[in-house]
Amino acid sequence: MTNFLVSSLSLSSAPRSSVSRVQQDLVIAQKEVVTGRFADVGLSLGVSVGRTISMRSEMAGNEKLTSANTQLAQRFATMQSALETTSQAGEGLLNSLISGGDRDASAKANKNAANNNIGQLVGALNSSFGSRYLFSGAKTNTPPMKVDASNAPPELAAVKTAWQDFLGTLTPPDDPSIVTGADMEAFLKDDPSGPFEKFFTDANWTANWSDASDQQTQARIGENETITSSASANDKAFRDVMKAYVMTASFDIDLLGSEARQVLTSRAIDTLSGGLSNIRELRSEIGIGEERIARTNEGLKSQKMVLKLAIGEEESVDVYEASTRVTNLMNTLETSYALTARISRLSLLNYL
Amino acid sequence: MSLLSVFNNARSSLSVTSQQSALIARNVANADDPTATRKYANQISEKPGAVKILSIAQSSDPALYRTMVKAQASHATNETMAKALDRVRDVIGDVDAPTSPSAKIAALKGTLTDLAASPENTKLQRAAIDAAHDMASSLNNATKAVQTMRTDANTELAQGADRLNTLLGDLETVNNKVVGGTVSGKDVTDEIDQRDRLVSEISSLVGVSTRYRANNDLVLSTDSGIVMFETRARSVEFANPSNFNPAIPLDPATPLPAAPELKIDGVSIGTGSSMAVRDGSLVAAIRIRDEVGVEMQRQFNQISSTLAGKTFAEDGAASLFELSANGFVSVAASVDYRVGGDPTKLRDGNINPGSTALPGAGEAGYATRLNELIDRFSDVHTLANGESGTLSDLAAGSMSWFEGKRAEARDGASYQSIMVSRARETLSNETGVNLDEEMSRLMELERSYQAASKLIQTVGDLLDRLLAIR
Repeated sequence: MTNFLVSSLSLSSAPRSSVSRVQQDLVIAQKEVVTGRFADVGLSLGVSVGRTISMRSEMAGNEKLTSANTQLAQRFATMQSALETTSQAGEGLLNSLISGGDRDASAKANKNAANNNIGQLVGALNSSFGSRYLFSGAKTNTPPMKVDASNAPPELAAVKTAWQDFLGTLTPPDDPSIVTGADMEAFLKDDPSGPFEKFFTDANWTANWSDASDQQTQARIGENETITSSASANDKAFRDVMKAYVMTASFDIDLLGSEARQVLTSRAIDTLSGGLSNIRELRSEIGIGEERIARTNEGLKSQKMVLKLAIGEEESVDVYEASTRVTNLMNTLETSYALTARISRLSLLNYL
Repeated sequence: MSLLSVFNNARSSLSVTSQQSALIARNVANADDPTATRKYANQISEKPGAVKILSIAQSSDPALYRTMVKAQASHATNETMAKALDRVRDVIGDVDAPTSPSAKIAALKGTLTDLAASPENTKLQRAAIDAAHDMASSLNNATKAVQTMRTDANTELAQGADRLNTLLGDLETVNNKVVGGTVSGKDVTDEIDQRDRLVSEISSLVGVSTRYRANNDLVLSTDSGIVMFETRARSVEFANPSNFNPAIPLDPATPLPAAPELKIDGVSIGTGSSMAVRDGSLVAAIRIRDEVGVEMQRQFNQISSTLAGKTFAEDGAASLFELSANGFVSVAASVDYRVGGDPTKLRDGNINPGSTALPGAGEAGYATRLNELIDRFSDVHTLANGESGTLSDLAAGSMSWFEGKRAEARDGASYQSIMVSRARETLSNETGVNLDEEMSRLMELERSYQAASKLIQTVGDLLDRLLAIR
């Protein structure tokens, strides 16, 4: 039974408990001001926290895809530039063949140019990006074109031997100048078992010219989008270009009679222009791939933006509000301190 | 009325005043004890005109006291639950922590995406195996955290049972004193304070309901009606706490290892019981051990078995990740470069020697298998409980569930803690000591002591005057 409505204990402990509560709130508010998001996101969002977790993992996947796509785009660019050089070299030779392939002076130059172009083609096909060969199909760790010590295809020697053997069957033997147009037609006849064509069959190409795989690699560029990310040196385009180069380089075009030279030149022009147009097709395919990647990356970029904003919307706090809260809490805390000191001084004993 | 009777009355007043002062001294001494109540004397007038202290009473408010005891019990429930879940969260991490299972799933998918873009790159192959290791250890850490949480809850139950036995024993002693004292008319207010203190301590372990019988005799039962104390303390049993096995089998059909039960007076207080107790830290510990912990582990098991048996399966059998019967995940040795395995198997498949070889596998740029694995991360799995979602949905879902539980417990705890402090404050205001009041009472007593002495002196003077007449 008492007339007093407050006990000494609660009088002195009330400001103390409010101080500890204010201090706890202050820690939370300070953290929120500094980070701009809830001090304890899980506690603040509760069950709906799964949404931001899903969005975060989506964003992580998105970032990875973007960086993988960038790498892919760089690879495609390297492939484009290798193919562009090949096309230019091929077209140079083609023009020269067309303009004066059967004249003595240009025949020699064409032979040399074809020889250089063989080296250029091998170099372009063997180009790599990072640790990866770009024209090997799925065998990305192997250079696609076989080369010998002098960086020339080893099969070239066999082709030359075949030509020498052919010259040996003529009378008098070993004189290129007596080769007739019909002889040349017979040598170059378009038949897989022909003395020249047999070197460029599928089986022989993969056995003796190239180490590339026919299998292509697929790369993922979007969540459900894949793209062919390799090219193979076994492509008919490269084979035809090589065939035309070999014809021009290996068969003593400068020594041939004009009839045979005509046959050879026109075959070379046919083959080369066919091969070059196939390369153009390949380049436009790669170009489409590059464009798809660019478009996908654009989409990924905007998706990432949306995700970032959405996560922010879920998790962020109003920093302005939080800092006002800090100011208010600090005022409350100071008042509490002052009050505690005054109350502890307040006692009837001082007046008795 | 004679002069001598004035002497008698004044003397009784002196004696009452000194007894009252002693009472004030007692109150002042107890001013800092939050559980002590204010004592006051019941004073009556005796004929003719003298006063006497009949008994010592204490200020009390049973309704407020019950509110406080109840609030304490539910505060203890929420606080225990929240603390346990906080500890698990420290292991799993915040929603943006790179250590959480869902972050590790995203990281694993990311390294596979990198590897699929450059399948020939041995560094990336190893990085993918490292990511698989991280994935496994993140799930294992979560499993361990849950197991620790359940073991801790079991230990808390064992300690709680011991503590409860001690408290009930003490209660028996104090209650006997109260009943005995009340019967013989002694001052038992201090004993009643002590008894209330014991009940309040018991109430934070298990929710209680109190009933009083004749002679201030207390009957204490749990909030569900199991008798804990009636004349004698009932026994609290917790058999073989060290037998507890925290592992949860991977296969939901396998029955859980039996967990020891907490019994009061032979009746289990757990959720399966017909008299399940509602509140108190021990109830929270049982819930953590038998419900929350089990459900959580089942969710982690669900993630592990989906990861191993679906996402990374070869011919439907586990390959990259291997599972133990208790839900622990490990990386298959045949692909683990750290123990001499061949990381290219991740690209080519056939990690599990019994699986069929994939056509075209073996070439350095072969990415079909990796692309297939990445695709499988988007597969929707339907679980036995009807839930469905992708692997990362499952992980995010279990985090949602967990954070929901934690937020619920934290909110409850902070609300109840305000309730408890408010109830304590009100109770203290209602029944506690105010020093100023005691001091002013002391002044009052001083005056009445002075008056009584003055009376004695005056009557003495009168008598002296009378005796001086010759």
